[in-house]
Amino acid sequence: MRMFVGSNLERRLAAGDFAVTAEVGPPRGPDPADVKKKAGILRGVADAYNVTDNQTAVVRMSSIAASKILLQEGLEPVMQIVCRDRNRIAIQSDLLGAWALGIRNVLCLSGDHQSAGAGGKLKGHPGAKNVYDIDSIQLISVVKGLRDGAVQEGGDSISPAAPFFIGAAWTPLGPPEKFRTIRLAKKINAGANFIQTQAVYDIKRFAEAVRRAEDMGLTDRAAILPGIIVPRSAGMLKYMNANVPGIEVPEEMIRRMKNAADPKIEGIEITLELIDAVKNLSGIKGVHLQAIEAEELLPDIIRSAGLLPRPRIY
Amino acid sequence: MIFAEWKPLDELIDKLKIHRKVLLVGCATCVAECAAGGEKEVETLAPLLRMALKKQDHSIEIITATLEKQCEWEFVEQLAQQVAEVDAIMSIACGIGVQALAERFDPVVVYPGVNTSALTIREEAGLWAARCAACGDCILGETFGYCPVARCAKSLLNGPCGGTRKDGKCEVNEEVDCVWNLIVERADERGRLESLSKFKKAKDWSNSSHGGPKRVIREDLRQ
Amino acid sequence: MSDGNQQPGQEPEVVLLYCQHGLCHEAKGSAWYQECAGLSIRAIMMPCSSKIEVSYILKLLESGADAVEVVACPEKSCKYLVGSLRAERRIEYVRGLLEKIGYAPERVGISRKLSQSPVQLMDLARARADAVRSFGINPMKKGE
Ligand code: SF4
Ligand code: SF4
Repeated sequence: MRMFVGSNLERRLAAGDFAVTAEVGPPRGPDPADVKKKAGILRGVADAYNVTDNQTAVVRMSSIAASKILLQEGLEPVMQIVCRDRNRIAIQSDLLGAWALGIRNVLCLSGDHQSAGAGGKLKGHPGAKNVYDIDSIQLISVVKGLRDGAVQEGGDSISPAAPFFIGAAWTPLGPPEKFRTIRLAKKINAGANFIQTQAVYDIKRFAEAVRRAEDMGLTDRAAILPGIIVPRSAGMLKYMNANVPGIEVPEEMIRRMKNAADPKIEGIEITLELIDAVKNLSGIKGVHLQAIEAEELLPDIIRSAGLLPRPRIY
Repeated sequence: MIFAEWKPLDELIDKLKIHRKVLLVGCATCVAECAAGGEKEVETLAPLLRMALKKQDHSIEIITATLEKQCEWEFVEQLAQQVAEVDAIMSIACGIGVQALAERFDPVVVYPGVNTSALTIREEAGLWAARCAACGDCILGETFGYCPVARCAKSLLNGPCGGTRKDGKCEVNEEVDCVWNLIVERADERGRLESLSKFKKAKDWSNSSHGGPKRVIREDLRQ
Repeated sequence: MSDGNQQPGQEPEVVLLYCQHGLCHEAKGSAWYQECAGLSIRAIMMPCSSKIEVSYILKLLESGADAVEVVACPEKSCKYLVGSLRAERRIEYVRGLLEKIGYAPERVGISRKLSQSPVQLMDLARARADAVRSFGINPMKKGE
């Protein structure tokens, strides 16, 4: 496989090692110390760190700035970009700026609608005007244009090219399920190099979806990293199963969590089992871990999964 | 049709209370279809405003009219006599009608009585839903007759976001179908799912409001 | 709460809009409501309660009625199936509008009854009158 940017993440995947990515949500305030603190907790445990872009439509420190802080702290960012807030002009401008700052991995997303407001927990900005000039797949092709064609979406050339390692999301179990593999193919055809998925709990159904992707030759063309959100309680699993589109939690997992003496330990146990299960799936190249509001759990989890220390990258 | 809804009554009362005599004008076309600005609504709003103003001790006379089409000059002209009697107009037609009156009857102040918000169809009695967003580059021929520009909360053109709910509704509103789910199902029913695997490149929005105010000249119709 | 001027002793003026099926057979055709003089009631028969428009009710209030009571058929017995249901929804809508302009929503009400005797109809009107008495006279009457 051709090397595009030589980022940690790209080289890890090129080497055929099992990759680990984790998520770093930027703070709602302007203090770089908040980002540095999370960086301190997570340094060295993953190959790259996703920096969310105003996730759930709540204003946070920009993903570009937080990504830069991570770089300064010695962590490699995956800068997320959503299509909600910027048109193709602003997005491309930010991509050039991000490249200038040393950011090399991006993840292209549609983004949560501005009515989300952290699922109603915060006010957010439901009165905002959204943009959605381009969609996530068009965004992938725009990034690819800057990289492979040294050309902007409108046709003007840039010099030099701005190479990025391009990521995209996949919700394999979301309806309409029969289209989800086709949509994955569209993303990969448009230029996606790696794929991070919606959180996986139902391994059986996930494995079937991956097999369909494999049958279409997609798993050879892009590295699939299943998302795993560390479960903290039966309530959380139940909530996600009922309310988060594309997340399917088997009934017995919810029951197991409910009966657990210590749900926190049980959640870690489940996470380890999930990591182990996806590791053994053909077509899977790594894992994308999230511990919402509990990043401090990740180092131990990754260590217990036998994924630490991260092998050296050559 | 163009969809509009009454503005909050407080807002209307606030605008009218400084006047002496007001003409409330409806339109028998789109806004009548969406039960906001037709004759019925004029005759509902007028007594309501009179009652509200009277209660606040404002003595304002409200006269009424409903035009067949408030967006056509020949109909607008019919108001000339009534307008001469009043010191303000409140129109409950869409924004186009409001502006037609403002242009024709300058310098009489014209207030909008409704908020114009969408291009809809009446799905059933008492239920309207968006169908078109006047994007200027219609793609219905490729999306099996469903418009993702107007009906997808994110105007996605290459398929559904990850937010489609288990029951096929949109993540943004549990009452609204995810239009991409509808598109995919219809494509599948027709055995044409493959056609949706084609990449749709970034849309050219320049023939919509994003390209600046629309202005069209048809020489064949000029005089 | 008062939306008008309290004038004790003044009898509220009630308009009774009744579906033709709301009045019992025996009383049909007679000027039955005159039997109850002393109450300020105007009774108007409608072919079906679904014919009652929002604008019509508002006009009655605008022209000074203190209260409007609609008598519609019970859901199952409506001759036009959904007529009375529609009437009920419209009444709800009018009540909402009244509330928004600071009028007591109680000024408009609906009962779902069939084949009422004149006395029964009169009781419905009286109940409506009782419901609005505390709100005073309709402000539209002021300065007439
Ligand atoms: S594609 Fe454009 S023109 Fe066609 S229905 Fe949708 S918004 Fe309207
Ligand atoms: S759920 Fe469907 S309709 Fe709603 S934003 Fe996503 S793709 Fe669009």
